[in-house]
Amino acid sequence: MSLLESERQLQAVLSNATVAIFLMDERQHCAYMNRAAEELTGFTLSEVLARDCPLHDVIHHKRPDGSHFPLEECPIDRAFPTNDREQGEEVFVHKDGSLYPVAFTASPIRDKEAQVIGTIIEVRDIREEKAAQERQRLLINELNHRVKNTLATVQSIAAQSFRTLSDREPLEVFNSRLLALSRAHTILTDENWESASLLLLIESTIEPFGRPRFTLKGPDQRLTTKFTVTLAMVLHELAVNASKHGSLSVSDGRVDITWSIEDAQLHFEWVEVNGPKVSPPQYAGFGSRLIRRQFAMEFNAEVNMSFKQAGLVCMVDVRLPSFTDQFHLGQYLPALNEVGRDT
Amino acid sequence: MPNARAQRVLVVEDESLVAMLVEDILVDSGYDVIVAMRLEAGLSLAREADVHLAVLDVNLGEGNSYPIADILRERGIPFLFATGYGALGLSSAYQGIPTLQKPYHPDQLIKQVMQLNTSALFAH
Repeated sequence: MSLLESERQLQAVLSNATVAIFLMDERQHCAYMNRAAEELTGFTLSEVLARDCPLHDVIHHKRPDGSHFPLEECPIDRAFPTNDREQGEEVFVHKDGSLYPVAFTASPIRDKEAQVIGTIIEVRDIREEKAAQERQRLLINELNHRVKNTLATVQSIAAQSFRTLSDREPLEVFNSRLLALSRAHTILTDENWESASLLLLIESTIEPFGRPRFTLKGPDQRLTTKFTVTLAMVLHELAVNASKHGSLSVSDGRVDITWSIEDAQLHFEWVEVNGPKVSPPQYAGFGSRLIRRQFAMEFNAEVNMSFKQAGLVCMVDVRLPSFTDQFHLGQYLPALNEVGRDT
Repeated sequence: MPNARAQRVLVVEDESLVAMLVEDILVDSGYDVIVAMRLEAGLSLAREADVHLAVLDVNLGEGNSYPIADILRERGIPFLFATGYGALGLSSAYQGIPTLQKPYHPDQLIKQVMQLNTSALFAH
């Protein structure tokens, strides 16, 4: 292939590429830019060459807040001496003065002696991606807000519906369960519905029962959303039972919570200490059913409850659900958007 | 409520608290209930258990309950879907199946389950 022919081919590749490509010399001046780069920046190659200054000062001289952006601080500039394929996101300034987000990849160009003589930079316009991320963020915020409001509304409906009941206890039981659910949702909301910290979940669930009465010992772990919600309810029921009948019903009783995790296998122990003598029949109903039956079935967990002299001991062995099976909020957002429009 | 003629309903639901609710509603109305909370358990009960009717949650976290629905269809066991997404969220292959949108009133569930029963009787 002749030199002329190969140059023509190279020219065709560059002109038709949809990604903007800049070639910089050792002074950080632009020596070449392709058609996509001209479209992206608003400048023609000849305009940029005529400016006779570092490219940074033409298309990257302002920060998103409008302040001056010196060349020395530019991360793309840092690609010049050593690094191959330096990647990142930046905000460029268009010829018309508007700012736009881009993703860049910058690599040094070397001569035969491996001396760096310039930089090649690919730049992609990521306005659409940024806008989509922003829409997603707004939708998640809206969803979080609605979940919280819905739980508060349910709480109010229960309070209004049962206000004439002389026995306040059922409503109290309901409120404390609803609030346990709500606390789990708060943790998930703070984590964008991706995962929750086991330690934080335990802390937050036991908090209403008097944090100093518990000792916690075990490694932190990310939990999937579904496991988080059910575990919160399980811990809440254990705590409620302890404060009604178990170790937390007497002044110097406490609960020791310990756990270990090996290869995603969680071993969890709830041990009531210094409690009154408890007998199995006291522990029945909703909490027992939730823990022994539902929780065990939902996660293939092995649950062992024994009533020792000093109080209840509850041991759980369960394989933590993997994140690959988890429902991803993002993938359902278009559908949620539709629902939002209908209601 | 022990009942010699009680019909047995398979409930497939992967959320603990929702499963408890469905079970209670059905048991209070005199049905026998078998609960499965995971796909594998649902599949094996659908294949082997002696059940007359089924109530299926669609989204099971680890997948959906359509494979369970297929087995029930093959065995001629009538079933309905109970899902937070409603009928519009169903795959087109299951559009004709009765569907309850969660949350629902207990009476709605019982009414739909009784209708399943009637359609099953006529089919025989």
